[in-house]
Amino acid sequence: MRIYIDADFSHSVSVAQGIELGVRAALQAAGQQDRFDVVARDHRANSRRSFDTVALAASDPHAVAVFGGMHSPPYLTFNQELNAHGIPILLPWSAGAAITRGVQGRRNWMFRVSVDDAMAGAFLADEAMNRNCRRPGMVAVDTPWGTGNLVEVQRQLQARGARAVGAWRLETGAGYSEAARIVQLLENASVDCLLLFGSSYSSINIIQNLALMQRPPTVLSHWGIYGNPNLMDELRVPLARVDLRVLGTCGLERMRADPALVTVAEASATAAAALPVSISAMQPPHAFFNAFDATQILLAALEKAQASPNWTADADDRRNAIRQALYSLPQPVVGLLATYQQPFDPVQPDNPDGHEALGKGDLCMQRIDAIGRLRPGTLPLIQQVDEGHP
Amino acid sequence: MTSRSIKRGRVTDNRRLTALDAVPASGSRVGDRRGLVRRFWAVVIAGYTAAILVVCAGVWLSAQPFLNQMQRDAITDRAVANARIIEDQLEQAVEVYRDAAENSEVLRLVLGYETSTVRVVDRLNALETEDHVRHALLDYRGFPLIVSAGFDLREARAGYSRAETLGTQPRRFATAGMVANAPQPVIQVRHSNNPRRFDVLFSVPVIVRGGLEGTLVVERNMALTAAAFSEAEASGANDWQIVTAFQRDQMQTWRDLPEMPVAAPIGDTGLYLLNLDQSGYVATLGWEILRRVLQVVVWGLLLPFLGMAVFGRGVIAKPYEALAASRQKLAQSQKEVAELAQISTMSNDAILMTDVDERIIWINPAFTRLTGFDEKASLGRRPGHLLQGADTDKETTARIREAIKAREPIREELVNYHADGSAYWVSLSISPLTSTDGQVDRFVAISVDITDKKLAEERLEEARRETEYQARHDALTGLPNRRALDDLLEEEIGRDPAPRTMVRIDLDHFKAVNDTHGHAAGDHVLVNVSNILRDKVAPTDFAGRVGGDEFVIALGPGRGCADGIELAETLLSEIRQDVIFEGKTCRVGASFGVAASETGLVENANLLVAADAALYEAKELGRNQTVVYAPAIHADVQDKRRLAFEIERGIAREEFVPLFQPQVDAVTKKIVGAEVLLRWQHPDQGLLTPDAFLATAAKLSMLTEIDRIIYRQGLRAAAELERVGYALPKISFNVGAAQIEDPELIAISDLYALEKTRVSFEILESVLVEEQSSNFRFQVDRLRERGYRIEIDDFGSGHASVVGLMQLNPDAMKIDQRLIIPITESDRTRNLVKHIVGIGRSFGISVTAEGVESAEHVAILGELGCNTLQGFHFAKALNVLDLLDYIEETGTDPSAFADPTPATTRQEAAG
Repeated sequence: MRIYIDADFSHSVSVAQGIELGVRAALQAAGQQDRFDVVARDHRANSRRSFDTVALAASDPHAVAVFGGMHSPPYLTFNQELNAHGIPILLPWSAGAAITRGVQGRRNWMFRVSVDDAMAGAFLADEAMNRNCRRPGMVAVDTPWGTGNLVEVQRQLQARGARAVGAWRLETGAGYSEAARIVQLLENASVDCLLLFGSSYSSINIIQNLALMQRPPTVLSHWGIYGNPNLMDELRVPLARVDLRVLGTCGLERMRADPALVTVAEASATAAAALPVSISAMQPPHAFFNAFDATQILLAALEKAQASPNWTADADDRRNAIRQALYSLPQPVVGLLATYQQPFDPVQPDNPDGHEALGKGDLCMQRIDAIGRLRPGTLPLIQQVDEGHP
Repeated sequence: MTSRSIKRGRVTDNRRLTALDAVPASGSRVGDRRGLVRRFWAVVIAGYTAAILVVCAGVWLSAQPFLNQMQRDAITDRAVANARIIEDQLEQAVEVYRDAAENSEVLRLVLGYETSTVRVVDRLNALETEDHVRHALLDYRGFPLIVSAGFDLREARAGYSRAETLGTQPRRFATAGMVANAPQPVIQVRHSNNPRRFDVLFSVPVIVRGGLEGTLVVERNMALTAAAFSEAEASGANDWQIVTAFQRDQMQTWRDLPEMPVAAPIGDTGLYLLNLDQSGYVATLGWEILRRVLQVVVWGLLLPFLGMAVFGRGVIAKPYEALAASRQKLAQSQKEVAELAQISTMSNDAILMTDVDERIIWINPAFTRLTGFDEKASLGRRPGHLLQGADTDKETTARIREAIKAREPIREELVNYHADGSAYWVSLSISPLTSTDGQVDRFVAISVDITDKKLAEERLEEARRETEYQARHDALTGLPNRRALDDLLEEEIGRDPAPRTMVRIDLDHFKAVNDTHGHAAGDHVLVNVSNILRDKVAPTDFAGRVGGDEFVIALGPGRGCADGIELAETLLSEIRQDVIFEGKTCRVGASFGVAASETGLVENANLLVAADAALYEAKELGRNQTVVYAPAIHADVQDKRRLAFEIERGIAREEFVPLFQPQVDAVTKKIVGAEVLLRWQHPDQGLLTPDAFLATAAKLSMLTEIDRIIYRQGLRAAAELERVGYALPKISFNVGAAQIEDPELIAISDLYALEKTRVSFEILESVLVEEQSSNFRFQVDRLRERGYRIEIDDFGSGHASVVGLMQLNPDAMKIDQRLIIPITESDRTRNLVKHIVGIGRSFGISVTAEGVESAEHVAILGELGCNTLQGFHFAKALNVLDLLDYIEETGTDPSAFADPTPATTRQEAAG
């Protein structure tokens, strides 16, 4: 059997490698590493390459699923065409809200174990309110994902009786001088909290310019900032002046509460990578956590599908069986981020979050400290009360 | 002799007259010379003209082939310039398409962020110009996303690769600044139906973050050659053609041309601009070349001919001028000789002249005055027999004889004897004189009396010897001193390949004699010991006094370790005898260190150091004994030497690092500062505490350097913490009196502009007890004026008086941890600490407790009123990263030292 990974190994290396290591580590933890070939393909942030990879996987009779990579556009632009290929696509990172909602009446093959922008918008808006932001501003990269987030967060702020003083778009491939121009506009607008939806490269330029301001605003960033393996090095100097907080899943917080999870994660990752792996050295570790859990869910579904009468020699039948099994796992899956009782349900108008394994209660705000270390935040109250499925 | 001189003067005058008689004859020769010069110049000009004519004829006959080559070069230059114009035209077009390929709408479509093509189609249509034919946009695999009407890409590609295509091999057009390693734009060109116009296909890559994500293809019909030439030349433009490399190579055959036509490449397109007609330039270029050659020849030959004329003139005219000059010079010389003879008779220097047999033939009056011998007594005698005697140096006279024999001049100083038998010194200078035929026929000797000078020199030498003796000997005992010993070590013992032995002696209880009976008694004892040494050492031994009560004996060659020990024992028994001085009994002992190179542990050159190490051991073992430099001592010395070397290296590499122990407020438990503690990050042994190296470093006077490193690194860390937003309210350094007085201290401080962190210096209480210089007080005041805090460290450990405390007027005092640790169990200690805190309060200064190890300590010290706490209960010594974590978790109390109250004010308040 084969698992395909469709990720950006050129520009978002940290995330792509984290996802691949998460998949391999979960297979290792389950003792099934010899049953699967993991085929990693680089889409280089080009949706057309991503589309071709999914088409290739769909035409491979041994392929059981595709794991998506860092970017949302590939799965937003060609959402219907990708669903038409009829192969489960597990998303451990892409956060675009519309990806998993599908089209009424057509089969939906996108399953997410990650941050969902529909929840992220509300979460970030709450965070801005909790931090007493009086003049929030927003900057987003000019992609469907960035634009979607601008709209969603604005809506969420309004729902809380607040309003952003401005929203600015960063062109794809914008450099330092464009970032300087936008930061000047932020300064003119006296922004005190910046909600940032940027790629890793454009975000670095923005933060470096913010550090030059007299009173830099607090930055509440979506996790699109991760991906560049040199992120922390490039931010080290500006971080002395900028308070940077980044949205993420709560793996670090759960591990601080339960050190046994660290042992499990590091042991399986070390075995999969054949060299010592430390969670603290991963920049960032979220890709690993999410992909690890997504793989565990896939393995549980596979086990059930293989036992069902629908498991035939036909690849389409098998993939249908896996999809059905994802909706009805026989027992809870214990992951690094949560214990998944029943992670997925069919998406319905009254259940738009059916293909989301994680909920708002699985999101945490983490801080990147003054010398570039990722510091855990606090577990959401809902997590502390109920460790089960959100 | 005088008459001879006069006679010779007359002869000279006669000769001069003879020369003057010849002047009229020489005047006629001058007339000949003028005619010769005129003829000479006529020959030169004729030769010059002939040379120009010959060269011009030669050039005329041989330059024809080069004319042809020059003509080709001119056409090539023109072809290159025109090809560059065409290249620029293509480059401009590429720039336009590259801009289009970088447009964000295009990028979004190519990357698949958009599927609608409407906006991009509009943008590409806007590119169209008069000669724009069609365009297409391809994705990363080469599949078309947009194609303009009528553009069949496959046919287009086939069309451009047919035989008539000019650019059969697409080449990269590498003229503009492209991204390194990225695909480059490609240009292909072919003939169109119009012979003046060409079809050009541009393929421009769409690049995102250095990767090829698509391609923009545009076809244009361009009048490339028309743009390269002005309208006046348009009629001849047909002579210029754009061809491929193959066509260029075949053109000579196809057109039946006499030679290959000129062609220039158009950038890197693989195309060439070629010229067919070359005849129009021949005539103009021919005359131009001839004119230039003539110019070069005329001016080029002028210089050598001028040089030859000047040289030739000199050869012919110079002999006449030289002859006249030499005659004039001869007459002048003869006059000078006569004058010199007259001067000699008047000179105060004694002068004599001898013949070649060294018989005196002339003396001057001064000679008689100096020697007492007149002409009668002197003439006909040899000067050596007449003047030299018993004390005249034989070697000097031998050298004089050798010089005379060799007919060479010589200058010497020697003793001569007066006619009355008294000796005197002269500076003698002898020179041979030559006759007109060049043969030496006489010698002249000039003597100057230097007796007084010689006497002065002898007195000076005597004084120097005396000074030298005093510099190398001890004035009190007369024994050789340290300098003499050093010379002996360096010049004799150090170079001696045979083993040697050295004994080092230090008197025991000598200070007691000085203190009890006075220095005169001490001196008496030292003289007595010196006499013992003189009596007991062998004649070949060396005994010296090298310090106050330190002596060294270097045993002579052949005397070994056993001899050294035996001598030491003998000396000890003698030295221990009572010495009576003015009726009082003085008693001293002695310790002996013996080192011998026969043991193989030490070389001769290092015997003194080894003996010193052994002496140190003897002192340590209880004095009045002899210790031999043995392997155990050697190993100890080696260890210390290695440690010293490693400390030096550690300083050079800055292996000394600061650790920081946080200090917290006793009430809020927030961090109010950190004490900097010294550690050595040893490359082999890991992190070392000061007790492993501090004593050796102090002995090597390296403490100041280490302190500077720690101070600099500590300040740098404090600055870094400030920069990242976790400023320490205060950073404290342990300092001694030497560091307080170190002028570098403030210079280092100025390197780091700390805004939020105050710097504090902790001075040991023991420093207060010692007598300090006025400079110390001055420096403390100076530091305080610059805003530094002064704290007393380890208070309660020494014997500092309250008065001393008042004088230093510190900002804080730290109670010694030996008093703090037991307070949980001892009421007495607790009371003591309570009173110390009370002292601090009465002075109005802050009190810090060190050694806080438990929560119980914290509670008690809080009750007793301590302001600041430090100890393992809060944190051990941390590196800067751990300190950062600790600050982050605990938080700081920046108000602790934000507005420091001047110590004077506090004191007044307390008073």
